[in-house]
Amino acid sequence: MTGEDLPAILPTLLPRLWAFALRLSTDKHDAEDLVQRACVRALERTHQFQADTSALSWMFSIVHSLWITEVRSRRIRSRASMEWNDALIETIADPHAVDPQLDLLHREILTAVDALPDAQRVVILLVAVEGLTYREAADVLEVPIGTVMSRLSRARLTIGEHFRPDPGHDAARTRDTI
Amino acid sequence: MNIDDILLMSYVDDDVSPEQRAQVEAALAASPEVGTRVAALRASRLPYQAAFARQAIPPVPEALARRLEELIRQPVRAPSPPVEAQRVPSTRKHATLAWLAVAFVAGAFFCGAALRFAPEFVPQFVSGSVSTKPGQPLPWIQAVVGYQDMYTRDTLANVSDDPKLTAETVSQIRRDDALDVNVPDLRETGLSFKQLQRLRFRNRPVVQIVYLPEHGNPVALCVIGDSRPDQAVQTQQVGSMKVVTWRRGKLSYALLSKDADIDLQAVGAHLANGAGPALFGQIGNPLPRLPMS
Repeated sequence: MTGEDLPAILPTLLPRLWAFALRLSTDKHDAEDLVQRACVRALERTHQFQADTSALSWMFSIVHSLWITEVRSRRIRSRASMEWNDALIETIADPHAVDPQLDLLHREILTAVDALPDAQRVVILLVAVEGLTYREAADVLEVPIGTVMSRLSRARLTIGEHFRPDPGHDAARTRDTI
Repeated sequence: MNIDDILLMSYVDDDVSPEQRAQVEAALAASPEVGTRVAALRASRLPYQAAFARQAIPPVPEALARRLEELIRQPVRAPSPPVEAQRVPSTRKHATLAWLAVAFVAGAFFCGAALRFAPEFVPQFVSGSVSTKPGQPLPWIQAVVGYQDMYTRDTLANVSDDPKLTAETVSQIRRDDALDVNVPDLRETGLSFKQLQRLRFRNRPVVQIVYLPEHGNPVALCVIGDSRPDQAVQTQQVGSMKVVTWRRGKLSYALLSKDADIDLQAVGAHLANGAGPALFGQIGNPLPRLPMS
């Protein structure tokens, strides 16, 4: 596709852009603002869209850029961190879950990812959740691919520490949380 | 042995060469600490997609989808910069401005609600044939107000004027947009020039010149072609913005700001007289210092 096709394809990307922005910002109002601004920006820059680029990756890149440069900084300026939780995504228990243990695992994964520093959390969202390649994630974040891999490895080390089946490790962790 | 986490991650993901595998396994044999890191990385191979699929993501807001549809329908676009005059800053410090710098479309996007309630406005909005309700701002005024509303002092904090680029832009405006516009020097009124950009509204060129007062929000002088007779300065409140308008020499002007510490009407009156000096373009007489509001 080319930039000329973007107006036609953009509405089809909206649900994924919305979900990404919501997960990124963890705030419905910020997510709506992010997606809105990203669409404006993208339609303004259709001439910059490269035919060999994924439209979704390109849009993720714009959303992320706006998040970093506009929305996150504004939020930091305007809100106390304790107030951020007023519009968080809800994670509900699945009443139809076949496997309660799997359901619990999913919840723990979400909690572990949510606890990561922003830079690592975004890489997990792009690579592990959205399924982007390292190269695509690097393009979205406008960083070298090595930076993506470094952030991802650190994120996975942190997450893995929570899930590592090591009895000694579990005991240590329990002590830490008391 | 010093072995980095990227290589260990690639190892647990089975994405290494035989040589790298041998390197990691040698490190594993030699260092329990490497084994601990590998164990953590293995434990991080989790069903992330399934976990996130469980999140109760609210549906896309109807208003957002509707505004996107409107945006796609809108014929409002900032012009694509010519290759030889790419004007979008690429450095990180300019990133804040970059999205604004080419997104005049946002003006119509964000004031879409207002425009929806003004169906009587037609694309020939600046011609003499258009009648508007008394006191109702013209669509282009609404659009520039909506656009300017996104500007804050922070937006312009790291913007430094590039005289060469600004001079080129003035040339493009005169040559390509056929608008005889200069960049007034308003330093005597306490306004520092920050940037000049070409925009479009309903396929008509619009010039936006942004200034920053010592305190308060940015001030914009916007200009559009208008063949109607000259008109004296008028002041109106449009949304959150005070807007001073006038027509002169087949151009319509709008000077606007939100809570500026500047007497906009006085500045507008002096500009309307055409006596001010220009930073880029013709040189005239200096403006007297104006009273602050």
